[in-house]
Formats: sequence, C-alpha cells, structure tokens
Amino acid sequence: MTGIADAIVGGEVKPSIADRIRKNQRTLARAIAGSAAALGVLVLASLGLGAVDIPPAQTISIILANLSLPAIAEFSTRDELILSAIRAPRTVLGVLAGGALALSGAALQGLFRNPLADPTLIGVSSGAALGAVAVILLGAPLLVLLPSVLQPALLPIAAFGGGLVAIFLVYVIAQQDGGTNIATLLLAGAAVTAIGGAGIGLFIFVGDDQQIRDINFWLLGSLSGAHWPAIAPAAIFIIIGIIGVLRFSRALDALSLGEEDAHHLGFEPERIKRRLILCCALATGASVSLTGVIGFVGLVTPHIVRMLFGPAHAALLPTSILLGASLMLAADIIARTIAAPAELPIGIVTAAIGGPFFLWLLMRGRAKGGW
Amino acid sequence: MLSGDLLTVHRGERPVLNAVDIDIMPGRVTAVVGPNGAGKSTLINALTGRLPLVGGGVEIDGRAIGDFSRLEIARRVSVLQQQFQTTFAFRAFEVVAMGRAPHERLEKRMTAARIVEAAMSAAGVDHLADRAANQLSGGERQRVFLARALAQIMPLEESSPRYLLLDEPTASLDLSHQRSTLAFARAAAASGIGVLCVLHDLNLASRFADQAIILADGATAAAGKPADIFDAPTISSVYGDDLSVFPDPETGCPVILPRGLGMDTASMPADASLAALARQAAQIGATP
Repeated sequence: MTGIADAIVGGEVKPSIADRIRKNQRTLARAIAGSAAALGVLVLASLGLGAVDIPPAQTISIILANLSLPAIAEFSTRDELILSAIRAPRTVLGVLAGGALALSGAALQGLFRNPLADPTLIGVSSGAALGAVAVILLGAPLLVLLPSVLQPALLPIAAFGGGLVAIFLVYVIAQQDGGTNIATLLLAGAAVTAIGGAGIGLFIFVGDDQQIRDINFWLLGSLSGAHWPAIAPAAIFIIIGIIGVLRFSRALDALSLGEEDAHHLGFEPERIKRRLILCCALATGASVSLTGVIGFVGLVTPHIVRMLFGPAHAALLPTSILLGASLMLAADIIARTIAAPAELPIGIVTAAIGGPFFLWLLMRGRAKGGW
Repeated sequence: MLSGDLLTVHRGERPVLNAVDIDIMPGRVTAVVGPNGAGKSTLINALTGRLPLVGGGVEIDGRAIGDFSRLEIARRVSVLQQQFQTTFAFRAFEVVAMGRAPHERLEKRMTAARIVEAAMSAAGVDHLADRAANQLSGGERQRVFLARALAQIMPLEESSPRYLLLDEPTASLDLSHQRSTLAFARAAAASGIGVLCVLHDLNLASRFADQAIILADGATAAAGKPADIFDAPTISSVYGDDLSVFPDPETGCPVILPRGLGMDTASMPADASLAALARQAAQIGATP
C-alpha cells in the first residue's frame, strides 16, 4: 500500500482509470446509438406491416411529406390514410408504452435493489386494471351523463386514477419512522395487487359474456385502441414521468450501495424514492390506461440492457426506453400478423416470449451463484 | 474540527445516545469503543445528519451542520459502513468513482478519474479495478469501499479539513487485513484527515488511536488518551469484572484480555452450568 500523500502528490498517475471511464462513455454512446437504430427499423416495420403492406420507401416518403419535405418515392392516398389514421398512432402508443414500462422497470429495480422488480409489483397495474374493469362493467350509466367527446376517455381516466390510488395506498402503508420501508412497500404492493385481482375476479363473475370478453381483452393488453385524441394526454404524463426518472441516474447508481451509503454520498434517499415512485406511477399508469396490462417488458428489458452494457444507470435508463419501445413494437407486429386478419392480445406475445426468457435468466443467475 | 456537542438521539421513546461530546481533529485518529448496542454506529449517523437529534448539535469547522447542504457535507465527510451492499455487477472502479458523486458538477471527468486512480492506489486495490464488486471477497470489498470513501473527500486541502468516519473497519477481517486497514487509517490521519474509527477490539484502539471515547448505554463512560482511560476500574465498569488490564511489554499501551479462559478452567464462572448442559446432553443420547 502506498501512502495517501504519495498517491496524491508524488504518484505518477497511470492513465488506466481515465481510459476505463472513457470506455464507459463510448459504451453509453454505442448503447444509445444501437438501440435507437433498432427502434428506427422497428418503427418503419410497424408503420409498414399489416393487412396492407406499405414498403419502407413509401413509408418514409409519407412521413417526409407530412413534414413538408420532398418525398423519395410515389405513394397512394390510401396508404397515407392507413398510415396516419391507424398505423402511426398505434406505433406511437407502442413506443410510449414500451419506453414507459421498461424505464419504470429499470428505475424500480434500482430503487428496490431487487432485480425482480417491475411496474406491476408496486400495485399500479393492478389498480389501473381494476379501474378499467369497473368502467367496462358499471360505466354504461355514467357514459350517458358525459358529453360525447369525453366518453371514450372514461376508461383511460378510470384506469389512470385506479393506478394512482393503488400506488398512493401502497406508499402510505410503507411509511415507517419518517422513511419509506422498501420491504413493506413491496409486500403492500403484493397485497394491493391481490385485492385488485379479487375485485377483477368479482366483476368477471357478475359480468355478461360481452363484458367478460371486453375485460379479458383489456387484461391481456393491446395497442389496437390507439387513436390520437387519447394518446395526446397520456403522452404528456408519460413524457413527464420519463424525464423525471432520467434525472436520477447518478442517484440510482449510489442507491445500489444501499440507502445509507447514498445518504453519505450527499443524496437524499427519501426524496429520491418519493419522486421516482411518483414518476414511475405516472408513466406506467398513463401507459396501462391505454394499452391494458402488458407484462414482462418492464421486467425483462433492463436485464437485457445490463447484460449488454453493464449496470450503470446513465446507460441503463435511456437504453431501456429505446429497447423497451423496440420490444413492444416487435411484439405488436407479431401480435397483429401471426394470425391475421385476427389479432392476438399483445400481452400473450410478450408473456410467451418474456416468460421463457426470464426462466433462462433465472437459471443463468443460479448457475452463476445468484444475482 | 468535526465536533458533536451533547448529542442526544432517541429511537422511538428510547434514548440511544445521551449527551455525548466528541471532537474529531484533523490529523488525529479518534477511536470509539464500547459494548454492543452502546450507540457507536448511532454516533456516526448523528454526526453526518442521518439521524435527527433530540438534543445537542454538530459543527463542521465551526459552522453548524444545518448551514451545509447534503452535498457540501458529503464533500467533507465520508463514511465507511460496516456492511457493503452491491446490488448489481458494478465494477470496482465504478464503485470507487461513485465517491465523486458529490463533486460531479464541479469537476471535469478526467480530474475525477485521476482522483479515483489515486484513491485506489492508496487503498491498494488498483489490481481489482475491473472485477465486479459483488464478486470480491470480504476483505477486497472492504478495501474497495475504503477507496471510495477516500475518493469522496479528495483532494485534501489544508484550508478545508476532511473527515473519514469508519464503522468497525476491522470487524470480520483477519489479523493482517486488520493491520493494513488501520495502517490506512493512520496514513489518512497523517495526510491531515480527521479520522473516527469505531472499534470492538480495545487492544487495537489502545495501540493505534490518539484519542478514545468509551461509550456505554449511549453515554460517555470515559474520554481521553487510551493510555489514560483504559484502566482496570473503567474497563470493568463497562465490560464487567472478568478482565485483566496490563501494560503491553512492547509499547507500554494497556492490554485488555478476558480473564479465566483457557487451561485455568477452575476459575470459569460458567463452569457449573456448562457441566449441567453436558450432563443433559448425555442423558438425551447426544455426545457432549
């Protein structure tokens, strides 16, 4: 061991740590560029593929034309209509929802120091589902009272509200000695999820056949309900949530050492916890309110990113957004083409791919001696 | 000087720290000793503002701690905790680099890299830089976290003293690691850092601390130079009667050892109950 004074004053400083930090910077740039490229390709595929295929050149031309730029190829009005009225909102919703869920998963895993955390764990999804199911079953009398512009908004609003009520309950229950107890929070999340499940089960029990079909469709998730008037307000919440979470990459790094170390490093863990949970709840709640419950994107995406680019949150958070959005679009493309003209609920696709992948992660983790 | 004045902390209604005074002087090592549950770790958390004070106050270089922001405190005072959490596979140099978080907006990335480098070399962990911190051995991990704590308070300037608070840095380490950790703490003090070191081992405290505080039940039982306060009456009043205190033949520092253990079993007070236990075990068929 060298003396500290020597190391600071007289020590010949080797370039290696600087090199390593530069290399981390390059990894960050590569992670973002790579996943942005993947997302770009999937956006084009999502816009182009479907009952009517629109080739990439036409797709790009339509986008350019809408931005008042010169097109690179001829395209038909029919294609433009399909793209702007059906495919574009669906693709935008997929990007927003995938990004929101994956980012929330990454942030919550960091916050709870638990690699198995995801947005469904803190009760948001379950609360949102209960709100939505309640509207499907009991909403008809309410709908009559609402002005017609607001009618389609009732279900998303109820879902968003249900999600926020659930997370509020969970958060309040987890308050202990002036701090938030993470273990209690996770357990309360599980309990609230169970209660939500009971409520949903009861609604399914009393619902008629059409209502049960609607409920099931919603519970399995889908991007098919995408239309611009509903996406715009949800997008605001999702973007606020995403920006809020992105600011905490340094804090999440420090939190991986535990709340006390984070405190000693100058962070305020309580404030960070509060803000992160609120931001994740906003983004997840807004996304679930439009798409229904879509599992595994929030859980699996951060794991893939960590395996590829390491655990540092400066790279993990933005890359999770881009890759989560890509995964969501890929799952949606599969969902609407595999049994065309019928459309699978997207939750089936994400679970069918995500489940086995997660099992593989678990076995790999066990082989390597845990997480 | 980092000083705590009449520090009082309650956990619920129960006082866990009661009017404790402590001064951590730059360039000195101050040891805090005392039985389990005496309030040693609580004292560290009270000094950094982690725990709310019921009474008393903390000053950093003459200014009340409340006048500093969390980041300003973190730039001056760093803490090595007893336990090291490493949730994800951060590499050792990334963990050390987290020590620069409180300085992030004030320095260039390459300055941070130089400081991380220096801290890792001072703690002797250069060779671990690329290893995942959660795969290191206990001793290696502790040294990586020591490097992180040091990186956090560098560079060292005379005008604004730095403080390093170590919570049982020798617990669960073998003798040679205990030695090198304490040598690190001494070296830190030699370069002007004020070091506080919570220790269980009175003999280590006796040998290497400039000042010591004995805590018992959250209150100060004695404070001063180890040679002056580690005497038989004080030690016995805190730890019980079955201890012997004698001067170290090499240095003259007090040495404290439990009495009545070893070959001289006749004097063991627990003898009778142990014998009874052995008999009971034999009766139920187990080998004593």
